[in-house]
Amino acid sequence: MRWLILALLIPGLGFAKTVSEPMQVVKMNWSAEKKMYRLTMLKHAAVYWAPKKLELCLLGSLRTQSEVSLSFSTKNLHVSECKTLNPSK
Amino acid sequence: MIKLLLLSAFFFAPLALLAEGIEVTLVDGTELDCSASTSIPAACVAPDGTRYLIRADERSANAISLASDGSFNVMIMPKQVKWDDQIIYEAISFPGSGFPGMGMPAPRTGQQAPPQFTPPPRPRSTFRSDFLIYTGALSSLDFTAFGATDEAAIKLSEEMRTIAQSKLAEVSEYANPKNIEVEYDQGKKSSCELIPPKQADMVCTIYRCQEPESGFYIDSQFGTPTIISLGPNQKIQSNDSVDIVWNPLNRERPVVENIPFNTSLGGYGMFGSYGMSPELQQQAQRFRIQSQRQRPTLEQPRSQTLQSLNDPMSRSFLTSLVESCDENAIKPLKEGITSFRNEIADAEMVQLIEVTNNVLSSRLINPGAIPENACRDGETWYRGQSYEFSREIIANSSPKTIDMETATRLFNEARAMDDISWNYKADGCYARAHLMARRFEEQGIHVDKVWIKGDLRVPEAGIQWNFHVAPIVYVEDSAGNVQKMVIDPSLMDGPVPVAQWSAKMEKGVVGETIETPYPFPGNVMNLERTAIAYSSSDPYLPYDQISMSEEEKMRQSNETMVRYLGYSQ
Repeated sequence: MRWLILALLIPGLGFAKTVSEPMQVVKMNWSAEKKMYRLTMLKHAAVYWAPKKLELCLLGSLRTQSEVSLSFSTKNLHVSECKTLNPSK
Repeated sequence: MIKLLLLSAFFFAPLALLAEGIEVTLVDGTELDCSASTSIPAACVAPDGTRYLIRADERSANAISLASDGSFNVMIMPKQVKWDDQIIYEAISFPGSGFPGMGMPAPRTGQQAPPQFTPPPRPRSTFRSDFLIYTGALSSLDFTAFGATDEAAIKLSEEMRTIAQSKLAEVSEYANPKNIEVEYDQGKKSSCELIPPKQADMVCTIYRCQEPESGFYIDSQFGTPTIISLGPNQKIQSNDSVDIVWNPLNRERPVVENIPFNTSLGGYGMFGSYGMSPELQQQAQRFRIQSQRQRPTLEQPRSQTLQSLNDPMSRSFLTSLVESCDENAIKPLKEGITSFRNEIADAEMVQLIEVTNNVLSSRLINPGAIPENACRDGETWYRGQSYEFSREIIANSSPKTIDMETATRLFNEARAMDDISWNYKADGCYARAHLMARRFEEQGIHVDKVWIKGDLRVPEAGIQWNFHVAPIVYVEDSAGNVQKMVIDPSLMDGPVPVAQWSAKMEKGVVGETIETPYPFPGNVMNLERTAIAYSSSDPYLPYDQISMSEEEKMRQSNETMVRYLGYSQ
């Protein structure tokens, strides 16, 4: 039984990764269903999702039309971190 | 011993010349005294006695201030933070940032300095603005004080937290009342009652009003507070902005006060144009003109009052508010919104294609707002050089055809391509489509691309796309009928007609799927529609630079696939 559970879990664990990519936000919409921001990115077809706490950083990308570094889960494209690029020093 | 002391003094004296400790300068030039702290987050104090909690790293810096009268400010921007003479953070100014001293480039020698931008006076305090300040301060404190080890910083953050919590408790009682009195539309008044939430863990911020009948007050918290009224057949009749909201239990100050809409200043909402620089106001004005052009014409008597609901962001926000409220009480408003969405989906619009910043772009516009210099081909309008550019990437009207067996073979070959990430479908269709198209073409097959734009969902695969693209081939049957067949192993099990491929994707809009010339209009979702467009195999991504080379497209395709193969391992 233990092996069966492990066998079922391993493929799932392998797929869900958190990765970081530079991206530019072109549209942000608040989603009624998910209570998260629905994000449209330049040069991407996928819809990404971000919690409200990342609002300022994402708005910065939208307003300045610049890329930010986003960490997201490859499984559900939920963004967990948003960092501005081009540090000042 | 004396020699040793002299030697030490010789070696360590230069270090004493370096400034030690933490130095902070704010964007307004105020220099803070941070001598009480030895590490960041740090506690600092301004010459006027206002105390600051400062956090900084190489990417960002923020600060919360607590003035001697107990008022908080969470919108403080440090300009420079130094620690033991090392610059930890320095703000980059950018044009239009709206903050005095930021974004105004220094005049060149001989040039006159630009006029100093003075923001308008701050609006008076309301229960709601205070509520937002104290909740903002508490949330900002969580971030700013995180990981603090400095004793003075810890002590200041605890003091700030205690004060913010106590002030929040004071204003909370009056900031979110169950019963309110609203003043709207130049002196009209109404009493409204808060609608209960759908579930105990939800918060409903919509009120049912006595006047106008079937009126709903939308407490949007950050945007313009409005009162929506429904007319006959549950249709949204008007959407008036509310001037002021009172709590009958405490009239010391309003709950919410709206700043008059001033289009010339470019601002709107509770904060008006506060903090908007002239550059930003001009930008907002350009944006407004473009938005107006994309606004559908609805039933004339209502069209002016419903401007904000024409904006998809406002509709999306309103929908999210409605979803949190008791279903029976909110049902009329919910039906009104659905009816309004249907009207938008049915409104007559035309496609305009133009070249902006070397990118061929397209959008649906109101037929009454077609630019004077646009030319028409069929139902589509073109501006500038867009017609010539769009002809270069048009799908072939008399392509070389293949039989179904060949199409199936191509599909199977594509599915077997192990350098294409078939297991990571969330993104990358554009790279998959380009690689497949070029490889089919190497076999002498004529390939075009089909694009679909909209709110697209494939629930069983957990996929949600803004657009999707796949190669198409032209299949001729024994009777000589030619059909476009989509080769898309990411969605289908074999070559399929375009309609079947489109049907595989659920649409999150209420309107129909329309066929348009390429490039598809970027704003179809805003207008509650989905668009399908055909192109040659050349376009790689929508809104590519016209000058993008084939080598660059192949480089990006391969790079994307390598990255996404890594995601699925």
